[in-house]
Amino acid sequence: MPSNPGPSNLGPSNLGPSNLGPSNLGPSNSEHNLREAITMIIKIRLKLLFPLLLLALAACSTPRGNYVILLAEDDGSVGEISVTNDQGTQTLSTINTVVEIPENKAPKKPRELADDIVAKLVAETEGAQPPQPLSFFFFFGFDSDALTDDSRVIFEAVLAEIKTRKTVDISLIGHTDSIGSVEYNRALGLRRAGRLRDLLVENGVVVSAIDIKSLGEDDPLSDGNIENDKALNRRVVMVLR
Amino acid sequence: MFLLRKISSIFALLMLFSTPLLVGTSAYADEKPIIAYVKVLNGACIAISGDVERPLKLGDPLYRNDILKTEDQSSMGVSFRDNTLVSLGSNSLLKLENFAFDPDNNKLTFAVELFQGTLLYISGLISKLTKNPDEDLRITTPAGTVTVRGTRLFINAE
Repeated sequence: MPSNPGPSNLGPSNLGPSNLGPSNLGPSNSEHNLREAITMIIKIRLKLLFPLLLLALAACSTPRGNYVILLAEDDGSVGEISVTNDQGTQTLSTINTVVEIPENKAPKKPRELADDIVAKLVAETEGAQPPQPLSFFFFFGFDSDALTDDSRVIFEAVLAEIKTRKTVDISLIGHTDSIGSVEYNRALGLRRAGRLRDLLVENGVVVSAIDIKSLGEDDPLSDGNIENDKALNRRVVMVLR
Repeated sequence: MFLLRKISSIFALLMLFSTPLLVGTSAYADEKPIIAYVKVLNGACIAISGDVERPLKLGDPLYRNDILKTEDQSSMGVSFRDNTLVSLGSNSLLKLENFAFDPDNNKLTFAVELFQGTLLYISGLISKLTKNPDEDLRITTPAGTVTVRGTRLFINAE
């Protein structure tokens, strides 16, 4: 009863508990009962309807509120995620499973979602997903920071690719074979990456968009038992984003 | 033995040369390090850093502690320096809490906080290289924390 102007509190239409005037006791009582009955019916209906509504929602099984869905990567592989809060934790490792997290409650048990539901939920963010970064390998001579001839050719091709993109940022990670000390190879890997960066800058790439690092001998492509294989480890991996 | 000595002398010599290069790479250190770039932009998106709001353009750099905000019917995609890809749907709010990609010094951290909205995440090199994924790689949401061991995932936060 939000808007009852004060003194007219005695009209027959008034059903508030303060309505105790003897003159309107009769009619208001029956009306009151009627209203109460209607309210009851509505309440009962709602009570019946609400679970039905929930069941319907569960049946179409679109998750609500806070939730996390584990998706397949582009190559179809899948990792693992854990969802943790003060009340509990759940781990997901199957594609297209969801964990819902009700407010102030532990994450629910993971359940599987239909592919089309997942597709619908992720559509907007998938549309804004940046292109997958491209990787290129550039090889170097023994203890050298000069590109091999083959890698020079690759470099020209990569430059052409760069020019087709609206915006690029580039990571260069230098690697070496295992000859020499770990520290030396860290530095050599960095020199190789630095050399490639200079070449890119000479060709118009903004220096601040290039990030260089070295992993030295720590991440070999081959175990380097054969001399030819060692050459595979003398490289810079370029990631073009 | 001779070879070893030769290698170590070359090593010493080259360390001399490589030192200026190492210094060179840290020449940008006084500037805020760029941790990610805007690669996809639809509609109106901004980055909030302290009291400063910057409307975002394609190719814009992003920094630690930036809060990314998308409006109605807008979305954006960001690539981090370790190849992690993150995209946000409309009406989303994401803080780039912490990011370090420095395999040289075993510093690998990826931490973002999704206050609201939708997020699609594709893991990058940090997820591959880290030995402590539970500590190094974290997406916080109002309802709980998501730790990631190399994958692609979607989050909705309300």
